[in-house]
Amino acid sequence: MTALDWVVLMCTLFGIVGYGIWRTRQSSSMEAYLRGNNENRWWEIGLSVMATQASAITFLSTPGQAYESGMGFIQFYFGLPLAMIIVAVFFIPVYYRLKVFTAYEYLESRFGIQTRTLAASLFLIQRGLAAGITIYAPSIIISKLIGWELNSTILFIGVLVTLYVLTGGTRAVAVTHKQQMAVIFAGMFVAFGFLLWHLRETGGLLNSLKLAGAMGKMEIIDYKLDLNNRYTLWSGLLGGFFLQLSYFGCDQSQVARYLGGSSAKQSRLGLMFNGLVKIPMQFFILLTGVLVFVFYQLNTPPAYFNELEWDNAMQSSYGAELESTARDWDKLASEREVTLQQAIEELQQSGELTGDSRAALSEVRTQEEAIKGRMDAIIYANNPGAGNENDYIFMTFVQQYLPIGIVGLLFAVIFSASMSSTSSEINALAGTFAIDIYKRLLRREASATHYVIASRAFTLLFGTLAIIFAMVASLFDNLIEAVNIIGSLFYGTILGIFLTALLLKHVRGRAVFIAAIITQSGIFYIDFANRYGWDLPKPSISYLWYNVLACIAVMLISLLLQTLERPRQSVDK
Amino acid sequence: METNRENGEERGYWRKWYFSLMVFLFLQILLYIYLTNYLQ
Repeated sequence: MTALDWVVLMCTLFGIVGYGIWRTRQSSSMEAYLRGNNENRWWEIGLSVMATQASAITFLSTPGQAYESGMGFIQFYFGLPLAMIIVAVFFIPVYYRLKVFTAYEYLESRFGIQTRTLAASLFLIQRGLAAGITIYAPSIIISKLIGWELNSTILFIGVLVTLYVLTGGTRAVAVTHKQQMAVIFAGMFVAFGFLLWHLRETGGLLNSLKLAGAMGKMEIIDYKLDLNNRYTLWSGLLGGFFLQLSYFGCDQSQVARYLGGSSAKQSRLGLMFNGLVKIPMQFFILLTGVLVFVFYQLNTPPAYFNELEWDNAMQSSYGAELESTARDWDKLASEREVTLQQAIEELQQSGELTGDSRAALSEVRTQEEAIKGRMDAIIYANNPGAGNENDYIFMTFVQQYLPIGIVGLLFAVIFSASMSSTSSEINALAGTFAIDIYKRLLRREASATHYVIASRAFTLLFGTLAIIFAMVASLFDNLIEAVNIIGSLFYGTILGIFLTALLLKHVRGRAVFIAAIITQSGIFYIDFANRYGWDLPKPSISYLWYNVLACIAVMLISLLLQTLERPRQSVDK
Repeated sequence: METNRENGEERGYWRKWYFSLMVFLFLQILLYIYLTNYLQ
């Protein structure tokens, strides 16, 4: 990065953080600190909800995923608009009527303290671990790209975020989200524009997409009903719906965003805005990845995008083997160039590719994948924790081909995305701990000032814990995977508890509590039995379906238990 | 009476939103199906 890039990056980040702290320096009441004074309008809520969901990994991994596997990931979001409607119809009116600070408060009024504490604790465990990973995962990639120490990168992100959340609470999160989203949109549009400019030799966007299609990157919709396939139309519509419903309806890091609205109407409109914009935004990010793929077909890509791991493997005992794959890669480059040139000429003359060209392009792609497979095997044999090469693709393109100043802007996009999601998490963790644990169980009677000070202390605590957790994360190889798994295992059960509360009015706390414990045990069993190959009967399903399964199971079991309990109660009488 | 009419208007307002959102999703899926077939 050049000096100008550093200036752009640092001015953007410190500008946002400084403005956030200055604007919200007087957040001294519980209303202001945990609900942002209820002054946000619909578009602010919409942007805040989107900023919370869009982490740095969204902008690092998603284009890389499209580069590698095409556009199919977009199907993951198809359930989101319906989830927004359900949250707007059922969840928001209840949260506003009860004037809650956290989603879990509602569960006490419906099922009692036991279920409220269970749901709040599950959230604190799951998000507490995830907050560290939200800082750690992008820091590994950013530190390698800009040449910082890993721990310095973690500290930089963690301290900045904790600072403004500590000062202004929910208001600071909402205020900074607007600027962060503005930087993210601006950066992504500029990168997309430069990509199109670089691809002008293909004859335009449509021709580029036809090339991508011929190389298998434009299979957006997959109709196959395969429970093991992660991204299909059906898993997106149904599995994605339950996942998004759980995330937006019951996860405090999202609930806190729309509870800061000036009215229930503004909150609902904010979610409608998210429902309209989210899928096109993800499509646009994936499309950027596909266009980077086409770009690198025309401009020989590096043999391996994660240069550090490549150099390490080259200097190891695997060096000779890797050298041989690099030679094969170089040989393929000339074949690729001829095939691509012919395909572009056809596209420019007739607008269509002939069958021969399609077959040749497909063959080039198959050979590329075979060589990449060999490279991956060597890199992972040398370092099993090498990480995914795809995460480096987009920013490598940015660093190599975008002009001075714009590179700094794109790094600001990545840092902003990391800070926007981390700030929501730390704010929600502090709020949930303050309201559902501290105020409810530990210190019931105290002044409002006391609770604001306590909330600030918890913000500092969870911010510090997230930083420490991110710093030690590298010591445990499978930690990220473990945290991600834990998150997806709890979501269905929590959603089941909330939907039972909202829809099955006669079910009581005891039934739903037992149903939640039974379901959670079942989900653990299915996941562990498949993951560790236990020699026991086990259904094999992808994790997106866990949410559907667990949610329906909690509702059905609690219904059954409540029905069984009734006659017994009558006999007791 | 007045409140009922207001509630009815409110419900109508949100129904239009929900319907538009689902139509927009449906149109997007149709577009993606078209692109998948056209660009193969």
